[in-house]
Amino acid sequence: MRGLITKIQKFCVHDGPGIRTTVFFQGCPLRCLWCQNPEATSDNPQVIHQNAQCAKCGLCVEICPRECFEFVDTVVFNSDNCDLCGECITACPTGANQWSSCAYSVDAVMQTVGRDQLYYDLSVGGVTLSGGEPLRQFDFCCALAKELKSTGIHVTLDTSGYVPTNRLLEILPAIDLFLIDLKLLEDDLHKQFTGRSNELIIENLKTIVARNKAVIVRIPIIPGYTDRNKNIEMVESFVRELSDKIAIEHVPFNKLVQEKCRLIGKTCSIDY
Amino acid sequence: MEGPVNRVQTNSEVLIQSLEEDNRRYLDWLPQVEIKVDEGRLLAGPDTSPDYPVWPRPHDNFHYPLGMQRLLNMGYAGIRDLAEKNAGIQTGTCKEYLLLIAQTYAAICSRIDTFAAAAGKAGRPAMQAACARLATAAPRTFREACQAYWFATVFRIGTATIGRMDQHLYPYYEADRECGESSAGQVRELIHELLDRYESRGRGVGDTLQNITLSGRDSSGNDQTNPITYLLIEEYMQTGHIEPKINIRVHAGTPRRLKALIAQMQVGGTGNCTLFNDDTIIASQKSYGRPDSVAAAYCADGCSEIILDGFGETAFRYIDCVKAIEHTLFNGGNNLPGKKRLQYFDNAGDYVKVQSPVPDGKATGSFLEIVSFDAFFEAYLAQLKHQLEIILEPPYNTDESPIRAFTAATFPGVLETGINPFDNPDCFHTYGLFIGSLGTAANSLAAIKTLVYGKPGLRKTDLLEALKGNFENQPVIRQLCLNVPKFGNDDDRVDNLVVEVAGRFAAWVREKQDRIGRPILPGLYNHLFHHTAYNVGATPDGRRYGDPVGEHLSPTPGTAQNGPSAIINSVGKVNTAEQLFGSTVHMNIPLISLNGIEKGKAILQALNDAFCLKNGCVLNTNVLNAERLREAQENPTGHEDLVVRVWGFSFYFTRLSREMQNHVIERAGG
Repeated sequence: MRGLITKIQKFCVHDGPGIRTTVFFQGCPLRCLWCQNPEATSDNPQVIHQNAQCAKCGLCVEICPRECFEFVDTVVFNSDNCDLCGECITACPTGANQWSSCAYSVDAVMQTVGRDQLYYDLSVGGVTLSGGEPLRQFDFCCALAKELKSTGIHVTLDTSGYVPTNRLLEILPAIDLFLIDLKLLEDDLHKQFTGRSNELIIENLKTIVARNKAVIVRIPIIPGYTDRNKNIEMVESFVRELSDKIAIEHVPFNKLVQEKCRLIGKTCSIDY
Repeated sequence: MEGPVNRVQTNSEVLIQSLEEDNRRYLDWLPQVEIKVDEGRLLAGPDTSPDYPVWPRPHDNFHYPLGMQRLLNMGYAGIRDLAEKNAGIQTGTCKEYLLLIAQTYAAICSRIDTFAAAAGKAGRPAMQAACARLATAAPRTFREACQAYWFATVFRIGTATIGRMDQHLYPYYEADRECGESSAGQVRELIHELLDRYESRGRGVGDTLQNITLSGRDSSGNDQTNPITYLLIEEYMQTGHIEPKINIRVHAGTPRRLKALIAQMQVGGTGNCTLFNDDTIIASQKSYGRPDSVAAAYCADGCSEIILDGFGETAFRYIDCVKAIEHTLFNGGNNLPGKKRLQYFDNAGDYVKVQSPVPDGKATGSFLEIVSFDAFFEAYLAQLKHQLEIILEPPYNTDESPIRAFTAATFPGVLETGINPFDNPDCFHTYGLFIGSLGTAANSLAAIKTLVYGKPGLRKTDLLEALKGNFENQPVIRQLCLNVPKFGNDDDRVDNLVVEVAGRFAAWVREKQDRIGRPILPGLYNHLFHHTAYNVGATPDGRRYGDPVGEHLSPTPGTAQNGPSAIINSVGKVNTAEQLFGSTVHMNIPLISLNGIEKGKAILQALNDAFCLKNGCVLNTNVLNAERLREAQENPTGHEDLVVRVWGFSFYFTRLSREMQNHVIERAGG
């Protein structure tokens, strides 16, 4: 069994306690306008073009059958017409064009994250499964979480909460801490900005809390979308009513999103 | 092993003549030490020493501490008396040597007596009593010990490394406590004044070598942290000064309170707290045959090399392993686009020539004809060995430049025998040979192995042309070079090359001795990394001429992309225990990566512990904020207090030259 992983990032200190390694999964059911990892939303690997590694040789401009690349001082990538043929990746001599994710076995992920076990032990840290939505690749995610748990590594699941409840219950014993985004409490706005209703997310949050699992609810503070006082107060008050044991974190907006969108040949959907 | 001394254990006529000449100068200089007994100060003496008639470097490089414990135990008068007594027993040049020491210390006692008289006249009875005591006997109280400490600092002339200050002063604190002599408040005030004086003495220059080493364990493994350790750190953190530089010895039994204070200093971001790992370093010292008690008495040099506290002198040289890459590629020749003069600081007159340890490499054959990476690697090692042989040829010390009598008298066995420290069997000599920036050299080796001898099959002529042209108009080749794994990312493909070169270097140096049979100690250090950047043209790792190279055993700035744990994992593969002169890692952490001050402290503690558990040697953590650095570079006003690590010291960022500022910004990932 293999999973599509966009990145395994060492020394993460924002996604759970202590020093952590975060495993980013490909694929997400939501389409948040402000998504911080747009390369991970699609269920399939996307083409990414990294300007920093580009030698401006122009081979991709020449070779792309759908004319996704053009030369305007530098190489500009527009993925609107991309059919993922991969010719630009094969042709690129410097590795500037790549797939957004690679297939990993559980063993391969374990080998990489295991290199920092000492740091998890010393800092009471561990591994965070994130994405995308890790549970979108449920079987792989579950197998990985169980393997991590069996080796004594603290497992945090950073989830959108938009997953079938039965699957959440299945993986629950292998998870030490849940990080759940609750972006907007008003469902019409939630649908408008993320493409999905928040009903399932709220139900799943209640399910996790009812089973006495450690949870941190995170509110992404997105200017013009989620940062209204009313929204923040509503979410916080809802969470407090649910349980006084739930920690709440405000996650600041990361302006790098525009750069991330450029990476996959898209235009950022929001102004800031 | 320290080994037997190969020459007669006595003093040469040349050495005695040189010392006589220096003594004459010193005795003329001593009365120029200003008699300062200021109101509002607890200690007598000026903050700075008067200028010496000749630059004293031939006699003292200030990279090693005085034998301060011995000096405090005996007092100035005690040293004078013992030198006089033993001069009566010894004969020949040993007698002459002891008489010179006695002469020096008699003059010092007389000068201290003048301070006592001035303090009396100024109505400062406590100061008068302390000085009067020191003019005739050894210190007994904490105040007298601090006064003796400061006099020693002034009488040594230059700014120098200080050694294990908490260990030196603690017995006097204990003695006072037992007899109720000084209150806790007075002790704190005295410590604060000493720290203030070191700052004033440093004159805002930065690279002053004023290093304090604190804590550590003794030869039996017992922790030696004491109340003075904490007082020194706490008072230092209050001052906001850049002087003196704080170095802390840690080990498996280091108290949690001290570990927390270390993290607190680190998170402050000045880089002014360097860790020395006792568990690696003491074992390393012992492996060279140093007795347990000597090995456990190590301390920081003026930068962050490892020396001994009060057992003898040090001297060091270096070879340039990045230059050796160029020599191998160009058959012993150079590939420099021009000659460069450098500035470290922003005062325009202070330019220095780029230094190179050797002018040319060895002819190891045309790169075009080297058929395998193994053969290339052997040619590279031959270039390093060539540098090493040239650099070690001259002696580390000469009798024309003996250690000044004032300093020499504080070293073991000197007063007893009249034999100068160079030849004295009771002294220990720390003569080092550095190889630094190994990470940058290994990055280039990895690039050659991967691109030229590996699958991409980059043509050698194309690589050479790209290097000759400093990668101008060769963006594809440069990108290929940049994409090859880099040291500091926990990648065995490149880390193992560092391990291999470091191991070979240590083995070669272990076989070497100085002219009198003392060992040469290897170290992974490069205080001239700024020179190296301009002493080497473009390199196969994608670095262009002038781009930074790694400091000491650190990754090349900007290339460690997997965070501090990966840096420590990479470094942890290197056997730093065989690098007796030290292996320093500068670890730069963006402030944002620590997720706030409180979590940051816990993270830093975990990283410090991991570094020690991985058998790291010396760690300097610099918490940097790239955004603030860039802002400070463009608009210095308002950022005058921004302090960053440079090499063996921390300094005000806005007072560094633009080139050095760029180097620091690169480190911050900027």
